[in-house]
Amino acid sequence: MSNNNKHELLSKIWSDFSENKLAVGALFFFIIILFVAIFASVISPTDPYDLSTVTIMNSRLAPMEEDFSGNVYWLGTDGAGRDMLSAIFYGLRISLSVGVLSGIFALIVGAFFGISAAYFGGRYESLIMRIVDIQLSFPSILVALIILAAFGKGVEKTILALVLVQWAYYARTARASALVESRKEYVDAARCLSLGNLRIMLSHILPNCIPPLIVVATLQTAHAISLEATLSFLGLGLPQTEPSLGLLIGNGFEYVHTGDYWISIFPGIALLFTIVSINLVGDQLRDMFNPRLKK
Amino acid sequence: MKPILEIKNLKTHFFKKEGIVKAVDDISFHINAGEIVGLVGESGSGKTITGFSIMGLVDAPGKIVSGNIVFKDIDLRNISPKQMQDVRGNRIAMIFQDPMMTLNPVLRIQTQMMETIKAHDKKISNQEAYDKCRDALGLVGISSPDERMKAYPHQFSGGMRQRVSIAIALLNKPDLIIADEPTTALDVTIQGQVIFEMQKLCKESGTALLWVTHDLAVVAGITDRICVMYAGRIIEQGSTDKIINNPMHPYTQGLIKSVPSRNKKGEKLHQIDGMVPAMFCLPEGCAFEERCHQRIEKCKHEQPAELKQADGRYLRCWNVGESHER
Amino acid sequence: MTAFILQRSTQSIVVLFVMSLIVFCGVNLIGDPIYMMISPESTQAEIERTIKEFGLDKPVLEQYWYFLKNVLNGDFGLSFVQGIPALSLILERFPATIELALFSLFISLVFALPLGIYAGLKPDRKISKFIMAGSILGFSMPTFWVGIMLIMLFAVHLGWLPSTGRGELGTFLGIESSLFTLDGLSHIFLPALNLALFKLSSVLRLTRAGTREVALQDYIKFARAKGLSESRVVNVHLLKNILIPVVTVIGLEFGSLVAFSTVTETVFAWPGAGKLIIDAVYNLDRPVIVAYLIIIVAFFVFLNLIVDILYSFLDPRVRIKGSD
Repeated sequence: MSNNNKHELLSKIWSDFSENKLAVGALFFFIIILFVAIFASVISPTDPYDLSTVTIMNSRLAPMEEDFSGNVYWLGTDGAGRDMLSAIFYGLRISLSVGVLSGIFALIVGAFFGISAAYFGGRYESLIMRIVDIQLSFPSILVALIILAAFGKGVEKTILALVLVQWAYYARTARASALVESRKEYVDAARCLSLGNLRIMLSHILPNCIPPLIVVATLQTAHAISLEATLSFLGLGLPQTEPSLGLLIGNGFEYVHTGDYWISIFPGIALLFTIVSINLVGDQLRDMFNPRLKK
Repeated sequence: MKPILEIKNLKTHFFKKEGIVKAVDDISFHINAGEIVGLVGESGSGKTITGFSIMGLVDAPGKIVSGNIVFKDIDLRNISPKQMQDVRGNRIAMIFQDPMMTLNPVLRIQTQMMETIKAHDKKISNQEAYDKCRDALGLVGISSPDERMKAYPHQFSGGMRQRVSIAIALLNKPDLIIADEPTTALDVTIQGQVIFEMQKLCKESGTALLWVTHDLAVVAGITDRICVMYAGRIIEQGSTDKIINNPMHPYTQGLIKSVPSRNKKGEKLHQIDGMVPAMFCLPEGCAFEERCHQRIEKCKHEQPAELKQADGRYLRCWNVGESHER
Repeated sequence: MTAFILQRSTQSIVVLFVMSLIVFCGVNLIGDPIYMMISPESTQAEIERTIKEFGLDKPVLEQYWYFLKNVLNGDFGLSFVQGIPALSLILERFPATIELALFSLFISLVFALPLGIYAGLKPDRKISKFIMAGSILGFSMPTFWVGIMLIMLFAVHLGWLPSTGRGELGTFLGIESSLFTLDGLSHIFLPALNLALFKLSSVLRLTRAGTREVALQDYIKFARAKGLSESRVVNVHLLKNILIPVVTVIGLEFGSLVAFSTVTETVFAWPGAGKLIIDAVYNLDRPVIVAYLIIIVAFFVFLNLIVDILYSFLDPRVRIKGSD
């Protein structure tokens, strides 16, 4: 595609996308969140995991309360005396990294299986799609539970569980669009020319699968972040050493009944905003790419 | 003789974010009782929207912008939705193009037929309505109608589905049937049958018929009068004989020459040069000007007005024919 | 159609079998639950005795064979933690979960279906856009967090409803349920609402998408062209077509509700099977984990089968073979 065409395509995508003002706002918001997550260590007022600065004397301070040395904690402190604002910044980083990382792996695995299934067809395709269909008929939390029950807890195991939950969504989408492409005549022509199968799949079929895959990627990332938070909250996901937002909420749960709401609420709001903004963007992308709604 | 349908200066525009599409841009024609009128044009010429405009079925972002649609002294543009419902399917019926998609796949044929009758006659009994439907199926040549009534649309072939649509159109003995490409989606062998039957039924019941199509050959065979549409305007209209044997507008001439059966063996097939202009950027002059071999300077700047010719037909062309304003 | 049922049933059995294999391998081969039972400082003799008692020393294939035999007899072994048969433990707690899931389903359908149909028919109205934006919020909010919020608002702050546990049981038509007592209702309300909110959003979005697609079809326009009243067009023509995908969704959503009850039950300390499994995974209580997974997988497979059969029954195109 020439540079001019690329430029035109991008402006068209942007103009379609910006029809929905809410989605644009969400995108903007998400970029801010991304920024916070990446630069968490720089912009946090304190390092909540530096044991030398955290003291139990500061525990459970309400938002905007002062401690005995005159520091104001905007969002209060948790049970161990850690600054909530900083904990949330670090938590965002962990939640996002786990969500995005697992999404990328799932995308690669899922796209590989989906595209190859559509391309090679036959029994191979039937087998793969049967597995995908069956896996998708179970709720994601159940699949994650099975995997975590089998493999145990921990960061890698959680990411593994998330990848194994998500690959099926990617595979199904990739196969659907790859199927349309594979049946086109130029693919037959390329096969006749004995171009390598891998080359055909990568340079011809894959590009056409990208728009729907982007939609799925966006929505699945939100889903992954939410799932990880749920698992960590239940104590089954990330360990205490990697405190994602879900874990923070889980830790704060015991204080709900005593009225120290801020320990759960604020990480929850951060989590909520993250997921909602990603979903709003993904939703608009999906409407844009859906041919059936263009009447 | 007063026409049963009179359309004057109808404009139906679509307001899209890329611009305004003037699907129907100032058309005027009439239909007399019992007449068969052909509305001919390529896809995108606005002929289907004309049919929908009459029925009041133009969906957003389309809107009838101006003009008059008068059906037997009723101003169709200024009646309540309830009154329009009374007209639809009852006094004016419509047959759609694609018989596969016209019938609801999850409802039985008898349901879809009987509801048409019961919507317009609250007092009729189920048995009476059922009998009427069964008779209508027989009328359009469907055998074993009782079995067929209980069936679902997907159990019918395309040709039979279209016959069911025709039967539904005839159920309430309407004064006018608008048939939008009724035979286009059918096999050639069935086409002939359906065309013949429709013509016969209309003549027998005195129902007027507006046959909307792109197929000039079909229209030449059965219509009394023809209106030729191009880019949202009627560029020529008059009696079928006169137009087919002596087309005046360059576009009509091109259409007639393009019909394959008119070719001599071995002769190159005729084509009209160029393409229909995109609906978003219609020129300020005549829409056909770019492709016309008989264009003059005026054609580029001014849209031709509809002018009555000596033999009674109406023509929109600056260069051909005489100038008698409508 | 019988061929279809047969095929799906066979497929279901195969899935169950494969799942049992996966569950067995996963739980029994990875992780070492032996140290859950006895302290790592126990003598070698004690360790060996425990291994023998729970059959952990036999070759894997033999273990699996015994496992399969036992499962088909309903014997999943004794819970490591509680010492009573795993199966009875789960079956004891299942009714509470089903009760919660059913009530949630009811709540979500009552709101989601009409709202979804409205939003699908009139997608450009401000209300519809508002509903859709709201639904994004609905399924973005993680269930557990909504639960916490609900507790904070209604239980702690306002003190209107209890925040934990299941209420008193009442009997009606031979069925015992906490839905039949006022106390029971006050206890089930918050957790059911929590569970319902998530599903409400997805059912609403699906209904709206389905409605929008159907509303654009030619046969709807044709129905109007016949002069039918708008209410007939919507209630008969539109609804019957939407019903097919919606019923499928309801079936699957119910299954999902049962699965997600694990979270809600933990937040609200609802004594159902969901809370049981979470504790079991946490404590590496193998028999209970295995029993729960097998039962719930069987439940899902069965549910999917029912939904498939229902779908093919409702859509005449599948039920009766066409002519072309």
